[in-house]
Amino acid sequence: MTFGLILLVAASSLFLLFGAEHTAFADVMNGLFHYDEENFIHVVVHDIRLPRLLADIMVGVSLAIAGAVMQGNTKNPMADSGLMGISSGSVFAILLMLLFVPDASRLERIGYSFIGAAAATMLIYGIAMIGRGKITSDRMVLAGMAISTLFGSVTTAIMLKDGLSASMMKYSAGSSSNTQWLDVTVAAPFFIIGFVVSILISRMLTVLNLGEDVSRGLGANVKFIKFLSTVVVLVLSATAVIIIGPVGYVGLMVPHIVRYFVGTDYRLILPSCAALGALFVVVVDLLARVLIAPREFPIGVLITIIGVPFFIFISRRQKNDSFAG
Amino acid sequence: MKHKNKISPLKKGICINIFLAVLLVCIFVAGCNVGQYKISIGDVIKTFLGGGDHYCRLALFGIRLPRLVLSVLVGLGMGVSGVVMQDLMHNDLASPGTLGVSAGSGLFVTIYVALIKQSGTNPIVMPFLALAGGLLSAGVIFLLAVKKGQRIQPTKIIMTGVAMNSAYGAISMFFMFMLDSTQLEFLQRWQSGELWGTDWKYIVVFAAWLVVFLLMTYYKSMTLNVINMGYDVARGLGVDVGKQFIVLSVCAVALSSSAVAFGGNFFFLGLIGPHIARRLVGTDTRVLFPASGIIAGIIVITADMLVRGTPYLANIPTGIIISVISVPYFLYLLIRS
Repeated sequence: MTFGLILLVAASSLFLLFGAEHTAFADVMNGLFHYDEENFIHVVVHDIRLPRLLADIMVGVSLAIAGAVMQGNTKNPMADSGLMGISSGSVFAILLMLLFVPDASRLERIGYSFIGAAAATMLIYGIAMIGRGKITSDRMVLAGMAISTLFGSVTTAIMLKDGLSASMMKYSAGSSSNTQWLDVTVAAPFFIIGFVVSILISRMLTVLNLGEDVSRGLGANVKFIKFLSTVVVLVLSATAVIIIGPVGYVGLMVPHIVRYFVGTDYRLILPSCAALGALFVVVVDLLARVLIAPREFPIGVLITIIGVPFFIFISRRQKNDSFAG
Repeated sequence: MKHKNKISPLKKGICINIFLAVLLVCIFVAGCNVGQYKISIGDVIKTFLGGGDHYCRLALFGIRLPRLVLSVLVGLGMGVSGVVMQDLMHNDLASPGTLGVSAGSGLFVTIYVALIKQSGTNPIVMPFLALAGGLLSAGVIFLLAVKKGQRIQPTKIIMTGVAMNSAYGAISMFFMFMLDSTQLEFLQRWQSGELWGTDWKYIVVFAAWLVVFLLMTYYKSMTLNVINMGYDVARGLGVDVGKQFIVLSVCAVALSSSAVAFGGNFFFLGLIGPHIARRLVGTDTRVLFPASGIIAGIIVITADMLVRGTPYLANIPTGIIISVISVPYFLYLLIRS
């Protein structure tokens, strides 16, 4: 975990250092600590790269923790909140906004996006909850698939009717290229709440992981923990969605790597996931900016390209129902 | 008395199939007189028999008929493919859409169409490309799902399908950034399921392709019935499960991918067609195949009639209507399961 944090700091400084505009190390330091509005380089560092870096860190931490909690909660190693389709709700809400209030401010846009994400989340959770079976991550993913198909097709229909497809493109691919300070400050409270709660319940999650009967025997309130952890997953995934849009696989990859190194104690897993998740997203976003500079890859696409082989790899390695950590 | 009245499920299935086929024909004829230019049923029949004026013939043979035929073909392909996949996987939620097979076919065709531009596409190439893409997805799923000495875990397959879908989505998103707005719109329409191959030259290729694989699939229907009883039972009865599994999967992928190539991506069609059919005729694939295909065809035609007949919905991809109708059904299945 310490190792991960050191790497994160290193990657963050690289992130601030490189980009379409060449900047010297001294300039970066000055931009951070002796901010001068007149200096172009300072503005680049302070108002473009720094918020984006913070956004990437928040997204990485959120997705990785959400993934780890979801996997622990449902005992399904393949669970990933990023594949649930929450983002379809937020894309749909933004579309409605473009239709009815085309001159909405940035803050309003974030608000709409949040409402959309929240609505989709509620729907997915609600559908997974009703019915005879228990809430499992499989059901959540399938419900997510259905909901996102529904939102997606209505979105496409409206988009094609009103010729909005080009302006919608940038919202439907995961990208952090437009991040401003405002996005960071709006998302931060949700992020902090989700993060703190997840750390608080990490001990209970470890117990829960021993099996529901065992943890009930040890005096844990299984229902309460499950409820709380589901809420954490939803809050964190929604946070990531409003900052960056749809990004899958982070929540799948990071916890797997972390478990390999630190074992099954969630008090260790969650912070390590946070560090590694942030590191991962920062590095990928750095690549996304640098590889074909001055143009950019959408980060969601790049992560998926890395994520799919990994997914196939763990899926192959997975033994039947022997998932313990 | 009761004993006398008892009909075998097979006979009952055949009766239902005949009924469904008649229904399809009725809807087909009704579909002929929906559209911006009004043609009465009498005129439709007259035009079919060789009469009718110039406009009727133009509207009917030039525009409506190809679209209707295409709808039926897409339905047949998707419906039958869904049955095969569900039976092979022993899973109700399997279908070309949920397994990511149609997304794979889609991606290949998209890239082809996007690169060549719409005009110069060769109809013969498309089903092969779609097949390649579909087989790629199927191959990955196969790799993941089938391991030596282990049974196939249905949920894992579906999760893999979801992951594959998102992967293909990301890749096609990547290509979408390189397109101009006309191509972008074509691609978005196509991805949400538009009947676009409404040219007789496409339809002929599509129909020929379908006939070959439908016959092949139907020829294997008894084998599939046995596999449906369980892999072990099938093995005990002397079926070479591994080999038949591959043959049938290839057939299923070929059917769905041609439907995807010419009709666009109808996500849930291959899922609900077989479901409704199974409720009506039971699990015997000899009657289930045609029933599922016909039902899927009816769904596509009806959705397409809605699109063509309602001014507000005009110009919206048919697949969107199908999704909006079928998502609640899918959720109902999910809740019940």
